[in-house]
Amino acid sequence: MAVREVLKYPNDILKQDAADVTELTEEVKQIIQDLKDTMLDAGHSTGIAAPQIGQLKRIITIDASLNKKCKENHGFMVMINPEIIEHSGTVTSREGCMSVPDFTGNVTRAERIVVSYFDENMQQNVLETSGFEAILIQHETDHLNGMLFIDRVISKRTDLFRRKKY
Amino acid sequence: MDRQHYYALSFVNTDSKGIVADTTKVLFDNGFNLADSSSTLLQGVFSMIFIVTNDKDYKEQEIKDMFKNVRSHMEVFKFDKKPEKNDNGSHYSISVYGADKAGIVHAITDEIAKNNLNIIDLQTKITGGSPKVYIMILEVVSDNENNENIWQEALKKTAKEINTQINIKKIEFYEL
Repeated sequence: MAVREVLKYPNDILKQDAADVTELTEEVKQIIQDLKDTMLDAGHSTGIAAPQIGQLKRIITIDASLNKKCKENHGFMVMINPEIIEHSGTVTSREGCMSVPDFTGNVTRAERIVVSYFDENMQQNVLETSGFEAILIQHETDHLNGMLFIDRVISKRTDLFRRKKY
Repeated sequence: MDRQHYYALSFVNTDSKGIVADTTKVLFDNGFNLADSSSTLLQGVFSMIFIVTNDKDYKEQEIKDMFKNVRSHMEVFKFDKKPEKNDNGSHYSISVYGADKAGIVHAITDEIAKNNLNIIDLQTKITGGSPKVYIMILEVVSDNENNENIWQEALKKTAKEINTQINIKKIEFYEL
């Protein structure tokens, strides 16, 4: 088990593109384990992306079931090279992120997505999901493209908030 | 001594280019840090509120004098300690709209106060057409999630009595 430090903005790694994973090396397996350990150690986190622990690889881990209000979800998942291939609808929620600890922001995202990805065995899968789990995947996938939620806040005075507590 | 002193500064002026740059130059030149701010154009009036800190213990008039060459009406309020913010609880977005008439804001905010909700943001707009439509958008915080049906029904009843439409939506907060 290895809990890694979660990088915080303005660390420059968070603003860089992550590289595709081409094979399941020992390094990749270790990153997956570290992501899982770090996510669970944080206590309040439902997902994490490899750049958040300093690894510029296209890997995320999520567990929408850690949000008690999320009734329909697929539990813990590893997604390698995730790509959102279809989306529909919009939903606005207020997001917080471990890498931007002082703020929360209103972000509008797709309500329903179809995502293609490779699992921890490098088997290709396609998942259709909606609601909180879809928001979670979009948020974490953004990290792979150097995007933070504050990049998606519309420049309106009511959209960015100093965090109430953590 | 590293104690920070907190001041609220407000500025209003008819809108023109360069107001923000001129104002913040005075702040910067005098060693103020901007802790929080909100500025917006209200009708043709540009309104700025800054919460600023400084390690120097200024009198309110001393700060006013710093801005004597900035073309705005300004006020200064000095806090005797760091202003604490408490917005813990469930957040709700409320929008109210209807044909413009006197008393909409009072009726709604009075009901909000009676139900022990805390307003943390409030904006109102009035449309330019005829008949004019009044729009109010609020964010409120409730420290008791279990009574939301009671206060929401009370607010809806008040909105109906003054012939306005009301929408109440809980703001979902996601830790990702």
